[in-house]
Amino acid sequence: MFMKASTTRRTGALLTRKLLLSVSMVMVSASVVGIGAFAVFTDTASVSQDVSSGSVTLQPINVSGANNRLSIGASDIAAGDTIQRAVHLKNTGSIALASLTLTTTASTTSVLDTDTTNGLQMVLEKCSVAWTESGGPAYTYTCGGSTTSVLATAPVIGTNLALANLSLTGGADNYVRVTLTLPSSAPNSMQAKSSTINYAFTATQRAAQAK
Amino acid sequence: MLSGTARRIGHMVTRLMSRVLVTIIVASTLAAVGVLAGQAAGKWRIAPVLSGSMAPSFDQGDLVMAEPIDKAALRPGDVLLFNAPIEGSPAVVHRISARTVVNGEPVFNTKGDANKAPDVWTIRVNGESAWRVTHVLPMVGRTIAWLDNSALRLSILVIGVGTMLFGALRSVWALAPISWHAERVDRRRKRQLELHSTHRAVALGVGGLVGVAVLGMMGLAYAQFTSTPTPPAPGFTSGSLAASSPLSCTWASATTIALGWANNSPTFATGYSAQRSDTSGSGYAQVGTTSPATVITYTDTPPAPQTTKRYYVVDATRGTWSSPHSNEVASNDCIGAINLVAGTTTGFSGDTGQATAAQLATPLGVTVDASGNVYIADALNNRIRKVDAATGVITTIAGGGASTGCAFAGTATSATLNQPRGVAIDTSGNIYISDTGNNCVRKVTNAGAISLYAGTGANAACTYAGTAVSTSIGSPRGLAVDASGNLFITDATNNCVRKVTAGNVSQVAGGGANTVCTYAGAASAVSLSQPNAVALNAAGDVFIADTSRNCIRKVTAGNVSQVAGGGASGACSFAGAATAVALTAPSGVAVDSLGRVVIADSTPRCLRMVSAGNVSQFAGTGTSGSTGDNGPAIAALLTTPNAVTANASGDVWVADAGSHRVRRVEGPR
Repeated sequence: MFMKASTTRRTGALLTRKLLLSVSMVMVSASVVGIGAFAVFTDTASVSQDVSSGSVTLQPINVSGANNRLSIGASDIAAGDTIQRAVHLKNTGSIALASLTLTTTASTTSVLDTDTTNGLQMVLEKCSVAWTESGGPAYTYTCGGSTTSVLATAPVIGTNLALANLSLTGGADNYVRVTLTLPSSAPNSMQAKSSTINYAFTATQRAAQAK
Repeated sequence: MLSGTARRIGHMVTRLMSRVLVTIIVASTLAAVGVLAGQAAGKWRIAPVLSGSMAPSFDQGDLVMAEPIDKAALRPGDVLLFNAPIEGSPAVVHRISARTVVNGEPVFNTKGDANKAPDVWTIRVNGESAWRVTHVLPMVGRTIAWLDNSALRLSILVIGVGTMLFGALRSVWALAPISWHAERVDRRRKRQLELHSTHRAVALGVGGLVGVAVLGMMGLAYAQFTSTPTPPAPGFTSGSLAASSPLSCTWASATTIALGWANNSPTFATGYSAQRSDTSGSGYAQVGTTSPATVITYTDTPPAPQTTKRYYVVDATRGTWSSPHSNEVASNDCIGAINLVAGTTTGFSGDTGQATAAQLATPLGVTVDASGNVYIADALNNRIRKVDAATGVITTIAGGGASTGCAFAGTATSATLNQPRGVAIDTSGNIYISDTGNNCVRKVTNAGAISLYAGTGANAACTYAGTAVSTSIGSPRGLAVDASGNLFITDATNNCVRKVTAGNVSQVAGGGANTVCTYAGAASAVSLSQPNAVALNAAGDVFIADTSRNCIRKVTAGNVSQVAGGGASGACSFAGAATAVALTAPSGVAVDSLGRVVIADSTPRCLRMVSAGNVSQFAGTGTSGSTGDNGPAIAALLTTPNAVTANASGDVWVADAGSHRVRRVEGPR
């Protein structure tokens, strides 16, 4: 009887200890999971892992049309002449852009692009609506809406030129007019020079976000 | 018995797998802890590559390890692990594409190998070192990348903790079945198996947690995606202004020069700049402009005296741009300018020297060959002299010798000529000389051998036809040779024009009774009076200076007609119908390549030109003299222009007997 009572008492104590330990473990585990879950959902250091399923795509700009004339060159340029070309920049991808930049290089180079003072100068402007084109191929453009500066006067060759006032969200239209000017100060020696200018508009995905 | 053995074998296998699994987990955990410790200690950084922007160098799923490197040692081509300097600053693995130094600090541009465009940022390294990628473990990062998912990480966390909790609870409650139920299984073995399970569960949980922790502690490297649409590169070409050559000039009046040039930049030039200098080749100053580009003439009034050489160029212009200079033209080369060819004062001197310094004595005849060499009948020096076109050197080619008589055959310079008044040259280079004082025509071959060609015979009648040496030619003067070698001779004594063909002579004109200049009819019926000159045009028409009749006649197909003279207006400046002009002793006639007839009107001291039936002043003012060289011919002075000849370019040479000079009036070139 004593043995039975003693056994019963030990068994009860053991059961109580097991229960207390179990409850404690469950509480600790719940706490760990809770804290871990909070940590995961508030992790802003990482970006969407599924990067490859998103896209950053600018509308191709080698399509000829009133809004895309950038691939058309010009000849018989003289000091003081201006060349206007329209380009339609549109983010057709699914990811908003962090920035749009322009890098221009010369595959055929001459003093027209190497002389940063007297060589070709570039200005980019945006119209709130599509530019109205006239002439051709000596195109000129007028804006039926409002214009904003995208790039102030700069030498025609530049790297990662920041383009301002552009709409970076998906689907947004940016009607841009590129104006090249050969300054009136261009010396006589700039006659009969040829440069081929490569325009590369680089759309960079938006900044990291928690997903 | 058999089932007991199988159970033992099963227990052994289970135990072995459990130990292997635990060993792997422990090793992975230790490795992860080691990596994290190294990263925490700044020894390296690791990161999985989550995009393909660095392909093919690094593929998505690779794990890169970067080690610190002094920023001064970084060079283009190194691959950096860095936080992009944009909002959110994700870790990026990209290659250095350019390195520049700004204010003594290296600055880098980066670019993904698979990206078309460089990154938008410029990297400045804070501190002294940067993380350069040194090792890559292909595919290892894929697992980490796969784990980089919020839901997945949460799931792993829950499963890991749950597994750990389950194992712990099983451990806590392991003795219960033994106390309450007297099971037949070996209690100690079961507890061992349960402990192994517990260990495995705990290890799995710990492994899951460690994985999550590793993922959370590492920076995930990924390359930003960029889109770089690039249109076909347009070409830009600046225009060019071509030189406005050829530039030509004409003395438009006695004081003005008309410039004319080519429009060689018709779509680019907007105008022209006419420039003048007193120095050839330099010092040009603009004297006038024209526009638009289709206006390609300009008339300048150079400062007096007009005999000073002026030099002109024209530039095509557009704004501030201008073309190279056109060819230069000099005022003395302008159409209508007159220049000295040979002679100074009367006398004989200068052979083998410059013709312009040599002396002539009453030159009465002149001709020019296809090369521009000039042959002069230097009458009172009894010589034929030649001025070399290239050098300007004068030499005697016939006469001056001691061998008298028309019959002399030998070296031309050994012959004695007697006041030769005419000279002509055929296409073979044979020279024909009117040995006027000896009443014969002589021929000098290319080799310099002279021989009798016509005259010295007894047949004086104009109608005579027979061997040329059987005819009697009195005072032969003007000569002309056609392309076939027929020689035309003016017989001033017999008043006719004869033709010698293959050694035989025949009548061309004269010998008739019709004296008036206006006569038109059979050439044999006209009465010529001391014809002094004869010329041919390209059609073979024969032009005769009927000197004493004061008119110029033309013979075409055996009929004669009036060309000029016989009118009432004798002033050199007269311009009008050629039949209205009064010629006085016209002693010379020539026809240029354009069919214009040039007349040496000797007494009025001027040259006239007949074109399309109208006559105009060509050279000489009417005042006796010899000035005006290098200036406009119409302002120059002549004394007694006796003979003229023209070449295919329109240049006209005049033998001015009275000033003892041969001069050239520039024609179009």
